[in-house]
Amino acid sequence: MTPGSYHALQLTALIPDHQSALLVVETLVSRGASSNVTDTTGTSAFQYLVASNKVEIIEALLKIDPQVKLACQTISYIHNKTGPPIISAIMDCRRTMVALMLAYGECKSLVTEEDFASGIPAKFVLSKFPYYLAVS
Amino acid sequence: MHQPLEASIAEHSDLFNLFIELEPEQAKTFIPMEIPNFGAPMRQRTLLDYVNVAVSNMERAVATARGRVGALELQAAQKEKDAAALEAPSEEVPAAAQDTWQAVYQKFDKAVADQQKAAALAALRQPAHNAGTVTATPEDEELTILKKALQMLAYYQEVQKRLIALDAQTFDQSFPDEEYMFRADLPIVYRQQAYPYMQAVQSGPAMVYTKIGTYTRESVGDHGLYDELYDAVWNGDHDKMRALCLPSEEGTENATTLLQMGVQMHTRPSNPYETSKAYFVNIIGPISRSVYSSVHPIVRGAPGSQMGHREASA
Repeated sequence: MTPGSYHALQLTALIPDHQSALLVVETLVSRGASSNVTDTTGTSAFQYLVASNKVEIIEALLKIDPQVKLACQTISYIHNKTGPPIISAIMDCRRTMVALMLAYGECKSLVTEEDFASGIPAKFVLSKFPYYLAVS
Repeated sequence: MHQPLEASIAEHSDLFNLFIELEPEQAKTFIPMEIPNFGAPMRQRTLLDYVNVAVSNMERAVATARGRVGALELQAAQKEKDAAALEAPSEEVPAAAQDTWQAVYQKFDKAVADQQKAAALAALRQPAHNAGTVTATPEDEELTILKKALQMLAYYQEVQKRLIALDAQTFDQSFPDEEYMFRADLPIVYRQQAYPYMQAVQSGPAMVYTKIGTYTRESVGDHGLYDELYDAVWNGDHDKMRALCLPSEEGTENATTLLQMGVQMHTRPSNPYETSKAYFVNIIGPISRSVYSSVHPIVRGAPGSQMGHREASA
């Protein structure tokens, strides 16, 4: 993904009908789509969907996407803060989203160094934000 | 990077209760570590330190806002008093003296005074906003600030109470042997006084050499030798630079006596509280280039060097 391009999963946020959106998400994931794919800013489709407060889609991804654990750990830079997707849900005060992410056990209430290291998605993030290296 | 607990407190969210319940151990000695400032002395504070500072800042903000609201209330009371005085009827000119020149003058004077009073009264009664627009009055604005400050104070006091109930510790309590102590008693604007580095800048020699680092600036110690190094760079004395910075082939030098190449010099600012205007003289570029090229001419790549000939022949 590059800036200006969109991941198919990310675009499901634009479908107004939740049921249709869920069908599209299930189809995409069954054909190999991953919510952990990031754009060149290191932000994953999962992160964008959390920021869009798409609770139903996030719940579906937590259930069916095999890559969702990594997506929950992926560190990205959003809202001027660095952190995993749960941080953006907290900063937007999305209580339902926070509860959902914690309930499925993939998002943690404490980010460890191991999570941090395993959650870095790609090399370009390191080149873009070299200070990640300071703690990884 | 922010931890969920840290983010929830930063956003003044009640979600902090959830994360304290989930990770009570973390809350006790947690040191928030935002990556760009990781390792900087100013970041060596626990969550309790931050919350303590937030409480004291909010207490100051509440006191200031209360002072402003009080001043505005006094001002409003004075206005009312002035208006009441202006609204009081002026003395009537005695009827018996109406045919004298003094009576005419007094009548004229009274008319002018009444006009002035009416104008002053209108000015006092005039609303603070322009007609047709909705703008908060200064009193409303100050009351809003006070209300917000009180809300924030209550929030931080609640977090503080919760952390203290968990036996959370300050950084000084957790790490009593650390060199850089965060002094919570200092207001944030003077926090640079808490660090030996800044104290050296403010009260030490006029020039200070420190290691180049984005977030930490550690003094490199011996001042005289770095003067020599700067002179050597200025004069292009490669042998001198090599002798000061690099180990010899025998390797007999003590590594600690070798100078750092990545150093910067900065002068003491004239205003001790003004750190942003300190002059930084960065010599890592010239030093590293000249030392490196003098030791390893093969990688210099300049025209005429060995590398240049190889490229040309290829």
